[in-house]
Amino acid sequence: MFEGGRNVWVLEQPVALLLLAFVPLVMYLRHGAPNRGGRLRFPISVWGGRHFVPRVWSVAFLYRLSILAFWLGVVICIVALSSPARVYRERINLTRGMDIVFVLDESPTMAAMDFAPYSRFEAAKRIIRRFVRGRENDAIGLVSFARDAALRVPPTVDHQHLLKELDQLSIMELGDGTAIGLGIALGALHLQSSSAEQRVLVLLTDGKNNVAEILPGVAARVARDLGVRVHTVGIGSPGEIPIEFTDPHTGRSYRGIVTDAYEADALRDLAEITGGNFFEAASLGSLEAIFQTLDTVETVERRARVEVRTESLSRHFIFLGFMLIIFDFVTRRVLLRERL
Amino acid sequence: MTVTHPEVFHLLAFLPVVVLVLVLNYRAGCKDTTRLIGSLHETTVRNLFLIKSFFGGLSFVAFYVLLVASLAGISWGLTTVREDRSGLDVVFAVDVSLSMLVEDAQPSRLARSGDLMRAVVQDLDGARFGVVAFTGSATRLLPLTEDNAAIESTLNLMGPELLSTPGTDLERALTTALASFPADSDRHRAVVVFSDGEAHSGDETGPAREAAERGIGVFTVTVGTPEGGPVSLRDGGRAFDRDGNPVHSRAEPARMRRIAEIAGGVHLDASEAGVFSRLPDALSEFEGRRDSEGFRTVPVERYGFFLGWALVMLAIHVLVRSLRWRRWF
Repeated sequence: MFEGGRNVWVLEQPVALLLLAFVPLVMYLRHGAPNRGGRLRFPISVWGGRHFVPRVWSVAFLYRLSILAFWLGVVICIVALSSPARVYRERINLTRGMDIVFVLDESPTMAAMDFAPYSRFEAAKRIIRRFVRGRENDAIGLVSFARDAALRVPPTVDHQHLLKELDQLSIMELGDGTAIGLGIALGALHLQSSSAEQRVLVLLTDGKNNVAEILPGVAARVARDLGVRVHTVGIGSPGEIPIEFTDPHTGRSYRGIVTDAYEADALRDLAEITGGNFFEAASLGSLEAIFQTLDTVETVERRARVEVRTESLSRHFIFLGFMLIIFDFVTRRVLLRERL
Repeated sequence: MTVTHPEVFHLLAFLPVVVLVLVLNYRAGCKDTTRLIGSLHETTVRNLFLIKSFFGGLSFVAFYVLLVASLAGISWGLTTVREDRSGLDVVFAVDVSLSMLVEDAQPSRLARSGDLMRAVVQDLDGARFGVVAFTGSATRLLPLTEDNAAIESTLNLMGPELLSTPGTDLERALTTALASFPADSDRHRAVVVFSDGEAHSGDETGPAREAAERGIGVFTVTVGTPEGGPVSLRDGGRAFDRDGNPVHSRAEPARMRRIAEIAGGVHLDASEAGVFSRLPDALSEFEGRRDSEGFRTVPVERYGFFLGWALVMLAIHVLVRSLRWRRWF
């Protein structure tokens, strides 16, 4: 949506409003003209005093209400004739953005609390969310890994869906371990059929590879051959970090101290093989800075146009006008027993 | 000529009531005139009263009919709307209710749908695909993506165990599918619905109209035959209703055809010969037709015509009563 989805109301045929000029004339002919028809004149009155007027309050009220409803109905019908419509402006992207897949570590150590007030995992999720919001035109996917790796969202421009899935991600759903190679290979595989010119994979991890199925170096070379650039982000600060998390399978809570850290050299190598960059995030602030860098490093030219879509509102007006005029008809012809 | 809201014509059922009120008013009016003026000028006055009542009533009835017509959304003729789009986004909406396991399509309704979707994915190069699964509720299984590996694994996942809500609700299916298209995309958009059409709740004509307005093509594929077959449970046993009779599911192509008609798409029967090429062809024709022309045609709704005449009739109705015609005639 353009400008946050604001929309305006317009009249597509304002000329029809000229008909409103005739309304007072017809109103005069019906209610004010001295010689108008459809009524009786009583010659009974006190000389010089008041004329004969109906004294029944409810009848007079109903009569006036029905007149009001009738003319309001007529005015609304004339407005309907001028085609009221709501106009939406939508920005349409004309260029193909890039494809980005986040490969996020969800091993138990990601629960370490060195990104106060968040854990490493929560901090990573928050930063990814903010990044996604700024990349409207890019297809973004999500792979998570621990002992195993799984595709959570394929590269898509449906960011709403992506953010929903990201929210639902939790630690240790894929076991205890750090299968960096598997994660990269899976992410690269899902970028294989992409038609984007730029394909980027962003790995976020706080540990070293300890699953031997696919070695990270091999996976990085596979990614390079598929034309995928891999950026690696090492998460965590050195030293003893308190940790607390719940195993989603057993429901048991764990507490302890983490001293493990990622291998900076290994992650730097992975990035270099594919032409990407390696970043170290020791705090929330540095993680934010890294994503800002990524945002400026990975750009493609972007063109867009504004498309205007109108939604006619005439039916609502016609319906309302119709109801008011029918109300007048029923009131006068049935309740007040007017004859003509 | 097409009518978008035919249900509005039900309002015409009140027309006899309106006429009855007018006639009763006239008869009571006749009595009143006699009472007021006696029999002195009776015929002249009566004639005048009859003429006024007749034209006043007639113009009101005409007003009523014309206004109902303007509400019905009658359209004829076509106008063009500029549409600069290229590429294609396709969302499959797949019925995964238990009745889709009936084997009146080969090998079963659901498996047949899966094969058709694979054929479309294979034939339409460069398109993005998304998948919505539905029963009585609907959920987005796969967001629009080019990732063939993800599409394939999603199609392998399809089964009645995906959603626990019983029933079939085509309205929710369509609404969820329409919401899957990002607003800022410059691609053509199409929804392909796979179902036996045996819906239990929802009114799918609303979202079908919305699709037509937004230029989204809705293609429907009926899987299964009108003769149908017995419904099996997940464990392989037969399904029985409350009275102990086996549940029998019959496809309803008419319902599926109507969706495609409203939304300007194509309806296909999954069991007809050549459907595996006809569905991808229909979709690429949809994309190609719009691509080459750069605009699309939409019917012109003529409510203004009817509404204008309705207001003229209403003016006559008022003037018949308010003017003293005897001055001129």
